[in-house]
Amino acid sequence: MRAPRTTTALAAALLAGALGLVAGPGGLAAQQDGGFPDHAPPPLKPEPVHFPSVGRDTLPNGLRLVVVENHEQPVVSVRMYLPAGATADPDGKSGLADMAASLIDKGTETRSAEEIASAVEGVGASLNAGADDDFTYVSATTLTSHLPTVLELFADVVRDPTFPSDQLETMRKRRLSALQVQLSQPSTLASREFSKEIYGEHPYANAPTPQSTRAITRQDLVAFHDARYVPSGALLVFAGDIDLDAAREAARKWFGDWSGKPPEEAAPPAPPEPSPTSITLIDRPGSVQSNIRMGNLGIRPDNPDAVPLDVANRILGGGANARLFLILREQKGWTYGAYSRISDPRDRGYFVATAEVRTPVTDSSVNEMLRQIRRMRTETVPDSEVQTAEDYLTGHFPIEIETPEQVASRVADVLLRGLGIGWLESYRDRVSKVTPADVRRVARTYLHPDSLDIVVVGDASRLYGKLKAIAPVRLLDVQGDPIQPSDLGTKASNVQLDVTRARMGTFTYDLQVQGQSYGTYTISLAPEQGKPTWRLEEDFQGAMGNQKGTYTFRKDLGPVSASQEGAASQDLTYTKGHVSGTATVPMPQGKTEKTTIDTDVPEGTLDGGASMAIVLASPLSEGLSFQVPVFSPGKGVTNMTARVTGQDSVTVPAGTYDVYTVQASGPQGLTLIYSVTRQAPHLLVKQEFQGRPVSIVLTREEH
Amino acid sequence: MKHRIARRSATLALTALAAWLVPAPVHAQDAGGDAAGSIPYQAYRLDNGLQVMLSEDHSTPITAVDVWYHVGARNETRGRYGFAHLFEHMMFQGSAHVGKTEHLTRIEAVGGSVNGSTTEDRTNYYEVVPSDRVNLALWMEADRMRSLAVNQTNLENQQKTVSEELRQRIDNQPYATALLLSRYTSAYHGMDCPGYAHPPSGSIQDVEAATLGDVKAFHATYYQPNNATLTVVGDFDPEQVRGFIQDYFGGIPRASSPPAVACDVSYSPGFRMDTVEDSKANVPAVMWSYRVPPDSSADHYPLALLAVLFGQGQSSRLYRALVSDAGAALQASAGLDSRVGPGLLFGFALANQGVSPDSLLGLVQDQVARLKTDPPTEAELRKARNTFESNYVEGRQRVLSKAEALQHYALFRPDLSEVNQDLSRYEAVTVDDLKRVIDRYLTRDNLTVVFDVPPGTGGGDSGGGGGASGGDAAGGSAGPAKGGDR
Repeated sequence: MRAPRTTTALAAALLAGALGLVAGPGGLAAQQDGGFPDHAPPPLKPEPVHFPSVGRDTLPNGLRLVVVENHEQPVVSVRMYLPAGATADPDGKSGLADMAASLIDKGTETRSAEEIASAVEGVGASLNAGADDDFTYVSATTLTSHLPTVLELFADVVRDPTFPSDQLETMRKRRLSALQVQLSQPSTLASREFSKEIYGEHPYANAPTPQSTRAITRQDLVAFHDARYVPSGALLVFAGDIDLDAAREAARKWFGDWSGKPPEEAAPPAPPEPSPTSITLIDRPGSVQSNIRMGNLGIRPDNPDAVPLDVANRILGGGANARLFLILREQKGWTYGAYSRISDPRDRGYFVATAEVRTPVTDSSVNEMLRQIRRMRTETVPDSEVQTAEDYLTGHFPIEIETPEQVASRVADVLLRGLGIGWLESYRDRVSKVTPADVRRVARTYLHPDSLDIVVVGDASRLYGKLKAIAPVRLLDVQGDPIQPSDLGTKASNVQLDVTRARMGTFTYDLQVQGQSYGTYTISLAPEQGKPTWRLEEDFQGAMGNQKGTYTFRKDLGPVSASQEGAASQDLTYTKGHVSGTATVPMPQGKTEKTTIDTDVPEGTLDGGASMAIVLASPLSEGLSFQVPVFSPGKGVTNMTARVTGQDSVTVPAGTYDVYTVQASGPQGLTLIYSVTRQAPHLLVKQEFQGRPVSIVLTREEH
Repeated sequence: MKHRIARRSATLALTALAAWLVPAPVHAQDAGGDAAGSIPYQAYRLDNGLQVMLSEDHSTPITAVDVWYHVGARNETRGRYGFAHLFEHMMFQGSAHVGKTEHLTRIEAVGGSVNGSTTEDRTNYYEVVPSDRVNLALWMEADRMRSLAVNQTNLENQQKTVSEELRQRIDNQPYATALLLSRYTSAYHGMDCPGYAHPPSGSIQDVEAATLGDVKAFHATYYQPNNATLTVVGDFDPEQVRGFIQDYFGGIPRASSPPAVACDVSYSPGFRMDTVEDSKANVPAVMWSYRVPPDSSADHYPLALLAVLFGQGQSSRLYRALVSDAGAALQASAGLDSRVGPGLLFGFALANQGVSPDSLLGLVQDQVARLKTDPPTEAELRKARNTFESNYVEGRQRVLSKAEALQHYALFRPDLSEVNQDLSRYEAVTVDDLKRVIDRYLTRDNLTVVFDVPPGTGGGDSGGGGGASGGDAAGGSAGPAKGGDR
């Protein structure tokens, strides 16, 4: 054991001399508050903001070169943009551009994936590639001393990747898993659906699916690379500790003998025409927040209204001093943040307002956001508010061009969108000329509160009715498939339960984790003397603590009481259609909190803690499948579903038994696999937890 | 001006010895050469104990102002979890001369970036502003250090905002709960260190229970010049900025030192395993952590390089074994979480579809075992050093990141000058050093594992919509999920 240095101890140690020798706290009293100005000090003399000079050249093969020179640190970043965005993905192969980019460093004519990774990381550099809608990019950052090594690798992966089949399969497997993970992320669900609504048939709406990911072949990758990893239309950007001559020489050396032009592109299908405001509601059961995004199609990058629209957006939702943040967060406390944004890809952008709000205030938030969007059109924004927005945009500009890499990225952005560098150099000037009348004009032209696409991801059973009052609602599940309002919420029981189908007695089990014994689990089930009720007792004694549970219920499993003691405790009493008592409820940060339960539950709701008894009391037979509503303190009322999946013969320490295997979902979301004797009255022989190395096996029967 | 003259004469009244011993403010210390990544700086201390670090960088007309208060989750006691973070929000609710939300809006109005954050060891507040507004940022930081203006309405509003932040960042996200167990609650089991055994995000219940009195007492205890450090980095005139700092901060009286926080440490608390049933997740994940000594320990250097070669980048051992070779994981990485007190060497692996969490853990454990049977080579060490050097230099390009680096060394290390000397210590690490820390800290008794397991999807509709529970888990599932003290 050693005492670590604590914050306060450290501060005290550093302070000791000063505190003792100067004067001590009392000696400073006379100086208190002297000289502190009670108003904010005026600005100092402003320093001029210069947009750094940018070196440019074009190689004979069409490769454009941009250099932002800055020798402050011995670091160089290299970035290449290629005319190979996701808009070029063939039909049915969405994700091809990004898949190709992620595989270029997984094997070339002369190097294996492992050799590339070791060489890059061996010199402490980084190499990344990916694709967005419009471009594929490949980037590397390195200390100047290793630039030659890194450039050689950079050119190799851009020009000569071989897309080895085994690497494709590994990547495919990861992508499929990543798509699964994305379905669990509310912001990804919301943005994916929003793009579909906004862009319709336009390729910006496309997103990889499991089907398209499975459809991609090695030949697709090779063909895509051949056609689109070409110098014409590409941009090579150097930033940092390098000058134009050295960059030009490097570009010629590694890319001078490279050739090719991308195929002619047909104009993409137009995005949909505006239609009356409607809501797409994606059901994410149990979601504690709703992810809201609402917007409409926007402008092309060369539109001269881009700058006044930036100012309008800044006022509406561009930051912490904008209307959405100040109202939804600071006034109402509905959200951690609410913003709006103008997206400006190469072809066609959009306007969007976003917020993640707690479930009960979802409809209020949607209404407030709509109100604020509308206000931008109906009221002229006061001069001072326009001034504040302009001051932010002009003042923030130098902060966005602090590092050479940031400058290079801004330059690449404008060049790739067909604008000149002058667009950047004149940006601050043009912002400062925007008037309140301009703001209102662009708001009226580009914000359309009556034809917005609104997407909400949240617990639809709690949102559907309220959102329907705002605009027509279309319901989807997280996969994007349509669902009906009747699919929401919990379903009534569709099974007759009878506790006498279960074996009475006391039974002992061993709890095993990865095959090792972690404790003993005992259950006993018996009728209660002189009462029309039964009692189930469970007792877990383990290395990590003890847990007891006692449940009483009627013949049909209708609950009377449910109590637990141990790490989790609860004491619940059920009366007709109502449950009350106390419970410790697990909290997200891994703790529990004691809460009072006093709530109505639908007729026929059972106690979620007795799910094992529910299985034993069901009319088990091949093909049985049923659901019952169950209550648990953490989740309220949810459906427990169970299904007989097959028959088996299992051997446990107590013997060998013929069993049904029953797969059941509990309120805790985990899938349990019960092995229960086929013969009634049924006895639990084994219980497993799908995906977890934990099982319970019968060791002893006592009747 | 008047105030500064008065203070100087007070200093002059002291004996020569005292003046010599007190480095601040007349004896500034200049440090830092022009080696790659080094940060030239001046450091001094005001009479009230506020430590000041200044570093000029005139390449862009912007300046960062960064204040660290040496308080974080580690200072929180039971029933007050999340208080430091709630308080951070209150610091944006107005002070004596700055209205509600104006700490944000006035900085944004001049184009600046502004924010604050809370970790286990410190709370920071920073502004990056056009260089002509450095005085505005300093004045506002001084105003809220000397006087917080809070009322019941502000408090209730921020209690709601913080609750929404926690819902957004934790409750509504896959893997977040398990991650917090693996980095806080479970990782620090078996030792008396409540400050590290809960996440800075704290508990919604505790946050909602905070009173106005609590908020005021917190300011009085921790938000004092002698418990804070101030850094200014960027395009400024040092004499002028010293004047502003003296004028704005100099009159804030020092307070008594905040109560010390002790933290037991054990590197053999016993193996611990938890499971989170995560209805938000679609594929299983395994997270693990080993306890390691504080950032200021000599073992920090080999551990930092071990984390790189073991789990950072595509040529790292974990990535190669789990992602490239076995095809078992979508992601696999490791990192070092350095703290003032004991920290963690931690890792995370996200399973590919159809890969069970225990087989994933098995692969991780195989690689840990391999570190002992097949120790890191010179080549691996060299690669880790190079990676470290690149990150070190690249991470010191912006005014704010330089300000944060100075702050880090001021709090985490006994001597600030290490900020420009540290690279050589990483470069001095040998393979034997790596072997030593592997043997010492990567033991089963020092391991915490957290499984994150999604609801089963094995055929048919599983009913959907379950939630992470565990307290009310059916029957014997009460076992391992409920073990321990959460």
